[in-house]
Amino acid sequence: MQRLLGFVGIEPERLQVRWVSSSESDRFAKTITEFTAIIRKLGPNRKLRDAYE
Amino acid sequence: MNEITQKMRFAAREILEKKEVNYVIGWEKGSFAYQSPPVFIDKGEDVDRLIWDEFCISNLAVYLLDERCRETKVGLFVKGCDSRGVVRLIQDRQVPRDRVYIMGIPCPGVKDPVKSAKAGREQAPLADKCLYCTSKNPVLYDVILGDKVQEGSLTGENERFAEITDFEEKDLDKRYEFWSQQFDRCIRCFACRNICPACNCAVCCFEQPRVGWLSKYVGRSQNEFYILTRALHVAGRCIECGECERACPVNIPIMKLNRKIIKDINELFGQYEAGLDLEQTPPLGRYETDDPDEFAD
Repeated sequence: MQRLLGFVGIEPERLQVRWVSSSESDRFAKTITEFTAIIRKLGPNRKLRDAYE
Repeated sequence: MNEITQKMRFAAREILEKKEVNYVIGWEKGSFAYQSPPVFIDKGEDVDRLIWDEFCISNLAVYLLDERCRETKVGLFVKGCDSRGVVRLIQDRQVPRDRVYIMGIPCPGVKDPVKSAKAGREQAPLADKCLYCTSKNPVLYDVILGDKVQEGSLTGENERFAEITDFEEKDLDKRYEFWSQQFDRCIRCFACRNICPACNCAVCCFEQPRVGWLSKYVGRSQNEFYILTRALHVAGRCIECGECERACPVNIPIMKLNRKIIKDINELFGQYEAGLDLEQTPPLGRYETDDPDEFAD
């Protein structure tokens, strides 16, 4: 899916898929922190916003 | 009249008169010299409508889906690519093997109707799908009409994905610009879905507007959502018959997405061509311990 998003010109990093068990709270927190860091760096998405304008 | 047309008519008449099948699906000559639309024949005396020429581009495998809930037996003419569609439908348990009588036609390549309309019947180039085609002879059939043709694609494997590789190298925003122009044109007529032998769900998720899969809003984002979802849905099952792109009234290059996914699947799960072998499960339909798992790092 990341590859396909990149192919159509959406930053592939905006989609992250990780396997986290419900008992892995540390891993969950870490994953989300990482993800927010990636998104902050990318900034708000301006693509495909037509339905909301 | 060519030899294959004669053989087609003979074979169709025989199975219709013996009542081995309820009807036969083939091609006929329509209003235009550069088009050979599908024809459905249920009486022996009508078989003279059947023809075979270089404009028999339609993949007839998809019409088997009309019969999936009935007891009918259908006689079906297939080219190499169409036969892969039939294999896929049988693998997906959409059509039982014994409910279809397959008459295979070795195909040297067919011509694109739109290009033929412009260039004239003689000068018309082969359809894009035929340039990369590696299964010119039917892979599954009950009877084969005519001699087998030489296998092997006209361009080779690199050429098949050359367009994709070139496009991948472009700048991200350029890619976005290109595709948004394509998606903007979509009118959500679902022609690509209806004509696709891999799109064989009895109820399509895009026809359930209340569950929120997709709004009825026809615009860039929702169109993209539809087209990408469909592309991923047929991933690993697309036989590259190119019918979606041909049926598209606004010429969205859908095969470019499908071919991109085929390329990715080949890179991630090893070389795979859909619909060549009845026994082989598609890579996305099975689990192997050495499958790539980029999400689990």
